[in-house]
Amino acid sequence: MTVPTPNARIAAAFEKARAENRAALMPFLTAGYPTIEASRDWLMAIVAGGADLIEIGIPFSDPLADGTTVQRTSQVALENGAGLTTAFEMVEYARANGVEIPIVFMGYVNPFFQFGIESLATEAQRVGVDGFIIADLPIEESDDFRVPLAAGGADLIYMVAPTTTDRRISEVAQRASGFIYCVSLTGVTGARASLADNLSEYIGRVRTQIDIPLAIGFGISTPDHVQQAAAIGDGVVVASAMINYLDTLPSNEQPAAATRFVRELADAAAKPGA
Amino acid sequence: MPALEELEAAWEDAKHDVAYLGEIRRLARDYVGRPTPLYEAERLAAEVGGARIFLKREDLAHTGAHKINNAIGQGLLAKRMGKKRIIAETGAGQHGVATATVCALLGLECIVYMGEIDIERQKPNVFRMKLLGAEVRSVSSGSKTLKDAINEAIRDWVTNVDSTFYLFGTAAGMHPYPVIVRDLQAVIGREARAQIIEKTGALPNAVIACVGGGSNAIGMFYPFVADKDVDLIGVEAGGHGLESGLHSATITAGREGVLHGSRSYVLQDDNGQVVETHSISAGLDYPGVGRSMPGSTMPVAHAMSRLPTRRRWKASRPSAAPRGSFRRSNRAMQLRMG
Repeated sequence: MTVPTPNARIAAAFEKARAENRAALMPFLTAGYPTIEASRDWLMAIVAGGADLIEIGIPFSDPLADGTTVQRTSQVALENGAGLTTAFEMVEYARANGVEIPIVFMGYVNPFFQFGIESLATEAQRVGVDGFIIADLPIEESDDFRVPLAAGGADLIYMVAPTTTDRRISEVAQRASGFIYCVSLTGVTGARASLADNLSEYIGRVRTQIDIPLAIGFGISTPDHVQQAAAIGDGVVVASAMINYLDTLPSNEQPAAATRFVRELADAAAKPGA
Repeated sequence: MPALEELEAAWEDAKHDVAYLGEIRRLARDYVGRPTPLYEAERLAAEVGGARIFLKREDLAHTGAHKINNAIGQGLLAKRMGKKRIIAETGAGQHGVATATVCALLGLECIVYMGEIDIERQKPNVFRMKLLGAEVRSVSSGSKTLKDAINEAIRDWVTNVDSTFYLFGTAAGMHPYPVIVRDLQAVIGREARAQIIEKTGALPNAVIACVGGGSNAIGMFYPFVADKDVDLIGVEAGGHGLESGLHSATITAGREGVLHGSRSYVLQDDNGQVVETHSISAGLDYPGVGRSMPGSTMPVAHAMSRLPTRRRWKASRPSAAPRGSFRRSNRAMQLRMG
């Protein structure tokens, strides 16, 4: 198996957070939501709030791993005419405006597949996309993406879930670079009232086989959740909760609110005793 | 994924279990009413000419469609796996009715996901499902039809994976469903093959089936795969015509893509977004199609010919040609299986 060359920006971001005794915070937004222009402003606002990495969702017609919030943002984004190209343009804009933190795309196989895997790797390298999370890509088929992406300097980020068996975790361990996206629960994305009870035990099980950073996502909604997840993981993803909050505000207030929201979460991402 | 591995292992085990297969056969005979008749439509043949035409009457199976063949097999498999909660998707409602029926028969909880638009246009089937004790959940995301009902069923499954069996209705979607559905529907072709030999003393020149997701087509075709002289012809829903964009001709007009965990032909736009389908038949409007691989590395999609629209069907019909030329006249549009 090809040994992946890890993406330098992702590795540095987790290393910096570790050195500062906190978990890396990775907020999520959908490309093209609420409008194509506004999603670019949200991106810059999230960076300003102190995000360590950014996850940009690529809208897809059939987001079967997503709950109601991201289903809705995807649908609105598609109605706005957004897609993979929109996301690349957001990154291009961010890089032109001095954004240095890692940017990771999250999406579903088909839009990436239709764009062309080689083209995807080339474009990612050109504009500065550091990783790809592909929710419906099984491990068995993942080398088709992983190898070309790695050649272009981007990590294919693997997902594991509480139901993932130890055998499959070991298959992930042989391939993964960058970080592992640990789905916190059995279910789809979306804000939740509390974290899963067995989260610590499950992350511990993944940790015995994998030595790259573990980011925890799905259902993490409040500073309290972030604090709990930061105590056991190396990174924390917040998505639907932030979008739900911003949606309650008038559009002109959303960017500043995004910055405040992310800052509050970033403060909560300190490890215990830090 | 672990759930799919568990399902595959359970199926590999069950399909060699004499007791399980015996129970399917017993219910097929006593509950479904199999074998379904093979009827020679003489007046239709006299009207259109060209061939002796036989109809495999799956509409006479209990609940009115072939869907029950698959539902019984998967329902018994769920019981065997100790799963008490069944979820299913349905488009026209035939698979939902079959699933609700089997759940009532086997004493299983039944939840059926159905697009809001399909619920509106298929009210009688919604009524039947509820009468059978199923809960019908309306899906209002995306195009509000079959593909979105599948999305919602998958979301339910990943959330409730320990207790729940997803009784999938067609030969598409995630492995191992295309294989399970093919094997459970192959009873159609096995019966039809024996019946046509009994009635005519020979194999047919061609076997024709409509293709939505592909379950009845693969069920009918699979037992004929080794019969190299039998043409296997799939007919897709032409809707308002291919040029209108309002159709369900996935093999004819789709491109390779990935939908619901399966790499096959998909009706999609240039950006890989899955597009909405149209057919007057609510049961055929799925933007993907099964890719079962019977004895070859070629998806079944390749084995089905390109006769998507009524226009092309009529244009290719040899009105008074002798028996045998029916096949030859269509050869240009067919890709042989195997």
